[in-house]
Amino acid sequence: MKCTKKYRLAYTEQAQRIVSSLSLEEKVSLMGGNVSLQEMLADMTADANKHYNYIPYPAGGVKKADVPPMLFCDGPRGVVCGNGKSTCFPVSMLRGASFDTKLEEKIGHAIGREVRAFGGNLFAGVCINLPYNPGWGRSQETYGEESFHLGEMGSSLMRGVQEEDVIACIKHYAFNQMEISRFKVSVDCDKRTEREVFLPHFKRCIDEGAASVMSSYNLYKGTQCGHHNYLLNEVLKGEWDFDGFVMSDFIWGVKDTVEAANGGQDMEMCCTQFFGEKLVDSVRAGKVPESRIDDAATRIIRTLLAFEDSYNEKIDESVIGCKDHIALALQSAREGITLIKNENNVLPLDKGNVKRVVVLGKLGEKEVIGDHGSSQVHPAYIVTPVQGIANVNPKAEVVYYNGENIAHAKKLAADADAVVFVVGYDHDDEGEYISEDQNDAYTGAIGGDRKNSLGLHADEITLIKEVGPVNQNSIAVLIGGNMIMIEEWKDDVSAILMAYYAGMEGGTAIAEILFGDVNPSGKLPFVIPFKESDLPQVDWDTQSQWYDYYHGYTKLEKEGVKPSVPYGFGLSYTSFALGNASFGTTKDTVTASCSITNTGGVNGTQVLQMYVGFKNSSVDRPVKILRGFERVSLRPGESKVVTIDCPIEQLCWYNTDTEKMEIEHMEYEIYIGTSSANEDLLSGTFIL
Amino acid sequence: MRSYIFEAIEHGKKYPAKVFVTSIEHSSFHWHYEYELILVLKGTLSVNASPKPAVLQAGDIILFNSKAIHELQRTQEDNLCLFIQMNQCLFSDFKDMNKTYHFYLNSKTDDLQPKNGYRSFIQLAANIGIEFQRSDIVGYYRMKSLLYELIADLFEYVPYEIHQKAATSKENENPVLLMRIIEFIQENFMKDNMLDELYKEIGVSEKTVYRFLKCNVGVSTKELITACKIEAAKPLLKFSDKSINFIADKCGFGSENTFYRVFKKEVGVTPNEYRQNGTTLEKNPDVKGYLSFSQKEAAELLNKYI
Repeated sequence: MKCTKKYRLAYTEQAQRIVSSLSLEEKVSLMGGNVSLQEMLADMTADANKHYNYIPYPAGGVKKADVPPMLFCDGPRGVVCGNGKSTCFPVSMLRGASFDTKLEEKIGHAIGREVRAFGGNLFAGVCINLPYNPGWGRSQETYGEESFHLGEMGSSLMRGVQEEDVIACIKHYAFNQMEISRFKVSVDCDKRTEREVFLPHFKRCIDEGAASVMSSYNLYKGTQCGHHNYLLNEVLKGEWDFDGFVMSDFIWGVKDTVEAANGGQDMEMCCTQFFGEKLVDSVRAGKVPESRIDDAATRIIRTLLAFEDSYNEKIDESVIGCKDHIALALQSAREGITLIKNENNVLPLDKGNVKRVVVLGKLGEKEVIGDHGSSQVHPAYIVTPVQGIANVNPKAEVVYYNGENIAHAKKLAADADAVVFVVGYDHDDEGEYISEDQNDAYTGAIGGDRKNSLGLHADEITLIKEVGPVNQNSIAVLIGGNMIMIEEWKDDVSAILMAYYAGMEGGTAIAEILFGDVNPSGKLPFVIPFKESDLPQVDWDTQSQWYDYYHGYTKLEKEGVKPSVPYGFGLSYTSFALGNASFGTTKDTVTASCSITNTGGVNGTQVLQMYVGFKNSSVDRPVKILRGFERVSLRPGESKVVTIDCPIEQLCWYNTDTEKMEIEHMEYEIYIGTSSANEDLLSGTFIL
Repeated sequence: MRSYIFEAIEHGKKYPAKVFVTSIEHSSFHWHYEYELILVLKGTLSVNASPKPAVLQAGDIILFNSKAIHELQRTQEDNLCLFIQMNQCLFSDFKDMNKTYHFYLNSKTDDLQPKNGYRSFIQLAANIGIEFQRSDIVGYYRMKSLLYELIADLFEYVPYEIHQKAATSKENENPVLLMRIIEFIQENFMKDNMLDELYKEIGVSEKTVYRFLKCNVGVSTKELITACKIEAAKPLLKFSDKSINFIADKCGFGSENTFYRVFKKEVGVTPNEYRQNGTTLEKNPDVKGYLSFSQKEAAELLNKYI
């Protein structure tokens, strides 16, 4: 990455020189978006061919001083700009399930190039919020429930984007994992939860060189995150020594001129309402020190100069949605889709024997790529599941029926060689939330959190329960952005495939996996419990919410509750044998290694995971947490030795007495294996 | 597989649909690309089609999907039926030409009913029957709007399946090209070098035409040509006194021997036997088995269903 923090800091003097040549008004003009609310709404509502962020949204820019504007492009599923052009990748949750940091970096490169081709210079699609409860409506935009994994995946995307000389913006800082209440909820938690669970992945991305951060809408301990002196000034810019700039979430992210500016907010996006003239007045009135304005202006100019100077290649529009990028979207879907049940090896289906496939469920012929809010990408085409199945097995007769009439669905299922239920969610069930009424929301969708249930719709459950048992070759393909409960119906189908929102080539990848052209290798980046009540409970429509230290698999493990499907679990069409585990430490790292052999008949990829346990801790700590992972591909019979290591500092806990992250000196448990379940892990110990 | 008769439906230039009222004597097993909606206005009509034969009564409505094979037959009593034959292109997904829609609309069955009941479909069909008579500009647009309303209602309220084909399949259903090929064959089947002309005219290879027909219609090029020849020969045998030799030549069979052999194989009787006794065949070869009736009566009946 050329635009590293060090490289950027080399522009400090030049930036300061420019700042000193600018008037107060000019400096403040850098600190706000140039888009009027009317213009933004016109994009979204007036012209059917346009939409939110149709073109990059500019902020600042001072011509006479050669300071370019910041040009904002949203994500993370790809670049939101344009119509019928961008590459629509699978949502981040699917990419998280691939556990493939190298691929995520490649996706970052592709996105970075498309941002440049659209004329943008900033990509605000590195979303690394940690879903405290999987019901969060926008959890599709993030990678999973585990902080370490979020940091790995998020920093990989960031690196790829910034290597293309595009500023990556990390969002939403912080504690943003409730949608319906996002404008009003104040989140609270204890200090250890803050430092060990909700902030480490942000710190990780800053340490890796992220140049921009978006503050969230919600409040933390009663203060608006976009105004938050502690989060922005003390932690981000102070402790973590962040050199880039902070921007607010759009339109409602700043609510008070003085509090926001003094709190460390650098840029009000994407319409200037509380900054601009009001901020100039506040400085003149002595309520905001001019040094604060100079600091913000320096950060903005320094970052923009570094990235714009570094960008010499002129990338043209031909890269947008190009073959290579679409191939990458397909590869991502192939790697992330997760097989969670495969009774009697019903999958893969045999192309020769399966001559008639019946696809049931409303989502079977829908173009489901996820939310219709700010993350909606507008690709040239989207392959639906039923199209994918016909394309991948062109000789088969492929019949789709929505499944409303159970008797008819049963009849179809009885006559078919295989039945594929495509069930789950779309943009009305979960996603960015504006209003209960579709007509009031510019997104044209309801979205929001899954406040009533984390399961399938009642009609889908009935369909599966009634029709699944009719055909031995029955497969449920789940569409959704996070965990979907399976208990009610899991015994009524032979196989379950979690497909998330698999992007523009999602239908292709689903079909390739169903028919064995691709061997699945995704792993769940979340736990599936037996009961929703096993998870931390959230009041989705509230002014205040407490976050406990434990959530997801750490909560279940701590409470001794067995999950239905463990975190990190995913099946393959081949089998693997692990052996020769060894564990150790160096000065700075802890290491786990083992041999892995493909003992089955086809090529396969496994995600080996390293967990560290804290049984001997003198404080309350999780049973174990993920601290490393590695994808490994093996031909039948092939063996490899895989070594995973992790910096020791990743094992710290936050000591509230010393107010520091500290290492415990004790014996730790360490595990390596194929999921977080003990039966899938080899274990050992090490001492620090 | 039995080869069934293909019926070409000529659409008016104005709409991609054809609407008429007629009495049915017998229309033997046949299929066409059009979706065909039948509303029985009077009497009863025996229908042989998937999933099971049925006798429709006055007020019953049925939709035959594109390419669905069906047979219609008079019962003991006279009937009068409204036919709405809609071009397949009206039912295409503009984003994906590899889809075909298969609707379930048959008021004689109880299992798959339209969400809004049969009543509104019956009314809409009757309205189309009435408006189709008009020749003014109001009628032109009214007719279009009613047709599209009918199609929207089918998609919104009637259970349907989608039959999905692969995007990469070379035999992609392309109704326009398919119709061009079929129309060309129907118009020129008697010519010797017809196929060469076809390949040149349409710009496709022999192999492609073969695969295209086989995949979409289920018959080979040769079978389609034979069917056309036989259909052309039938009325000549029945209603003219031309010699067998003349008919064989006129219909492009080449020789009398070939004519005998092919006709016997396809129809089950020799041309002479067919000429002498033969099955029912109506004079108008375009609309087989459709009897004449009183326009006034038709209008009155249609009005009853609005």
